[in-house]
Amino acid sequence: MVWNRKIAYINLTTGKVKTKEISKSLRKQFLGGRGLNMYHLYHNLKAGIDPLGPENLLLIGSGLLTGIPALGAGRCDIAAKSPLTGAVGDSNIGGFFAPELRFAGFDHLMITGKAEKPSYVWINDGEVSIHDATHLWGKDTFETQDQIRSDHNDEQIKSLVIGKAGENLVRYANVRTGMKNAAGRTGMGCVMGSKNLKAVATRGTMDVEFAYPDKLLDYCSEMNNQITSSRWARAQSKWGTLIIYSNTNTTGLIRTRNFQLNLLEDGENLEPEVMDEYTIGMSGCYGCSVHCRHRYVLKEGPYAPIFGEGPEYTSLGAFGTMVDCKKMETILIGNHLVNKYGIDTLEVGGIIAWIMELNEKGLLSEKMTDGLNLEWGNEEVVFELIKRISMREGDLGNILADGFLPAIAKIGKESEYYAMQIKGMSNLHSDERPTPSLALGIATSTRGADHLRSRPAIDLYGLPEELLEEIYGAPMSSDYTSYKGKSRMVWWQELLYAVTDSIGICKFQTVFCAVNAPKFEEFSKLIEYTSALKISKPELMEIGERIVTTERMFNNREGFSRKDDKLPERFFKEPTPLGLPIIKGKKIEKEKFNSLIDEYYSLHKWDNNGVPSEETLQRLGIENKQS
Amino acid sequence: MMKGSIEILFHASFRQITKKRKIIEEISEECTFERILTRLVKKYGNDFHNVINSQTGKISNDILVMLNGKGIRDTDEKIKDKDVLIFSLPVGGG
Repeated sequence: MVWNRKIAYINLTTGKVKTKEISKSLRKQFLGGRGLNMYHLYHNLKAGIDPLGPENLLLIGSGLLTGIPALGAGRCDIAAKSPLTGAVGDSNIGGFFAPELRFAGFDHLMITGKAEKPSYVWINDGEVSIHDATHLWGKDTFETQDQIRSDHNDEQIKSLVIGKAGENLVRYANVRTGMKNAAGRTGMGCVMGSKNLKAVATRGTMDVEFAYPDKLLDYCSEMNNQITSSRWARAQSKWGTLIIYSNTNTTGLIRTRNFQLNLLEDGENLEPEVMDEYTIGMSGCYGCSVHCRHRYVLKEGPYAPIFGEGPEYTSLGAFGTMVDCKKMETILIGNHLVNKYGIDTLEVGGIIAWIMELNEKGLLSEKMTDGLNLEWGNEEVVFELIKRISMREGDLGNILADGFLPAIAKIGKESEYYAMQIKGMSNLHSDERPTPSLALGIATSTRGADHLRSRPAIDLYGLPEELLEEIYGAPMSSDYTSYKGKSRMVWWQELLYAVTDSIGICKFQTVFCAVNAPKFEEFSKLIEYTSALKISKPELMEIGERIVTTERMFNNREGFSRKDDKLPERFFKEPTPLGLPIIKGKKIEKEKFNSLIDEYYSLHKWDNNGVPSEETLQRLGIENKQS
Repeated sequence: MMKGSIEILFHASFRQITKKRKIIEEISEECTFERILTRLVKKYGNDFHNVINSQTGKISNDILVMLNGKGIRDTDEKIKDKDVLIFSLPVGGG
């Protein structure tokens, strides 16, 4: 049976490994990847546990479609209780690890306990073993991957690794693979560090079986042709996600100086074409026909030579607009450092921008600055803080390494107003004040401020309203500053992305970028050709509901509720100071925004406090587990 | 007849075609998007003609044209003095 693939249970405390086939009923309820990870997290973790304790789980899962030659089907989902937020911890990573795991005979891993000494898990053609990683401890993420390949004398090994940030239990340490791919959000690298787990490495030469290979290959070819013939894909294959900057920085949708401005004046040197000077080619993840990743070389300067991949638009905000740095070299160096140390680019950029604004406002004591010149635009201090946070060096580095909420507690209540975070997690550098739909998404996301959980990016395109109604199933405004129908947009996208993360494909190749990109209908066909499971569009949407509601139940059990689905107060109090006429002067209207949250809960069939009703739980087959 | 001027910004592939980030165009009182587009076709060629979906007669859904920050689809949109028109592609959002 092609859906009947394996999960390995790996106990780092005892060293024991068990394997089991994944049942068909679980597949039909949760698909794979994020969905199955959320099922395991909810059912196997007790409420209130310490995320850094041995009882936390680390779940690693490929998607149901992982391995097909289309749609970037190499995504891997990593989950645990988050040490950053205390809520659902979950992060998605591209590259080549997930397909290699499947070629080695496994779809999912559930890692429990804590190794006595630094260790790594090795998975090779159906066998799982735990190895000493003492010689890897202290190495950066590039060196670690190289060393594992060298130890096994096999250049084809793919590894998920942590760097110094993970070893030092920085609460937003990420998990890395390859030159650039990262499971950045919610601190999954910190969980690995807490388990003394330096890496999970895999190599596989086993066959992967598909239900209808001829139909699957034909349909994948059709999908790839559809993607590569689109204008957005051609643009991304030349400029990557940096292309977004041209739009957001000319209209006024980009956070600058933390949250003080909404575009970067004189920011021409961050335009995507500037990357041409450093780019030596483009690369992509497994199964991708777009290749949105720059391969770059920085030949001069104190950090040279640097060979790297990226940077994403996220890093452009983190080390550019948010800290008021205006050179592409700054972004490239920052990108290299976070990849080397293994720390979330978005979180570290957000927290540095916050500390710079606190310094400007006089809310940091001189002692607290640790002798650093925290002025806007000081790229050296940005690099220094990336290092100090990753290494937990000095008081400031150590405080910031714990994330926003503990840092607010130490620096003072007044600092909270300037922290652009939700549920303890930093927001992207996008400015959502003019866009109620995007604001609703970041407020309600189960893993904290987040643009990848439910963002209806196509709301920004002014598409015909009849087309929006056709996609989302109800009337809504095509004006992105309007509140009309936007709760439904967010709800629908949330279900789509939950399914996307569970079948293991790239969000960019769905209705994230373009209205005619693949969505539920195409997913149904691919699932059938891959696994013989017939799952209709309504059934896929219900699976999306099940995954999101399971996450909601997990969070509610940890004490989260409507009170946490909120925006930073600045969204309501400070209108956007710059931008084109439709954007300038915009802020979120609290009453209308609360109505959006009501509507969003209602679409999910949760009560006014964001608690799923018994009827909803029954319909979705979710057990009400309170402990 | 009153005259004015607008700013036209080019992003992504439109920047490659025009080899410019920004131009200023003079306009008359009764200017529409269609008139501006006709001028751009004359200046920069048929790539600008392809902005319009020939079946619907509207701006194609895989093109992003913003007027003062708002995405537009109709070619009869009125363009007035000091407007900002952006030719771009719908990419990402985060």
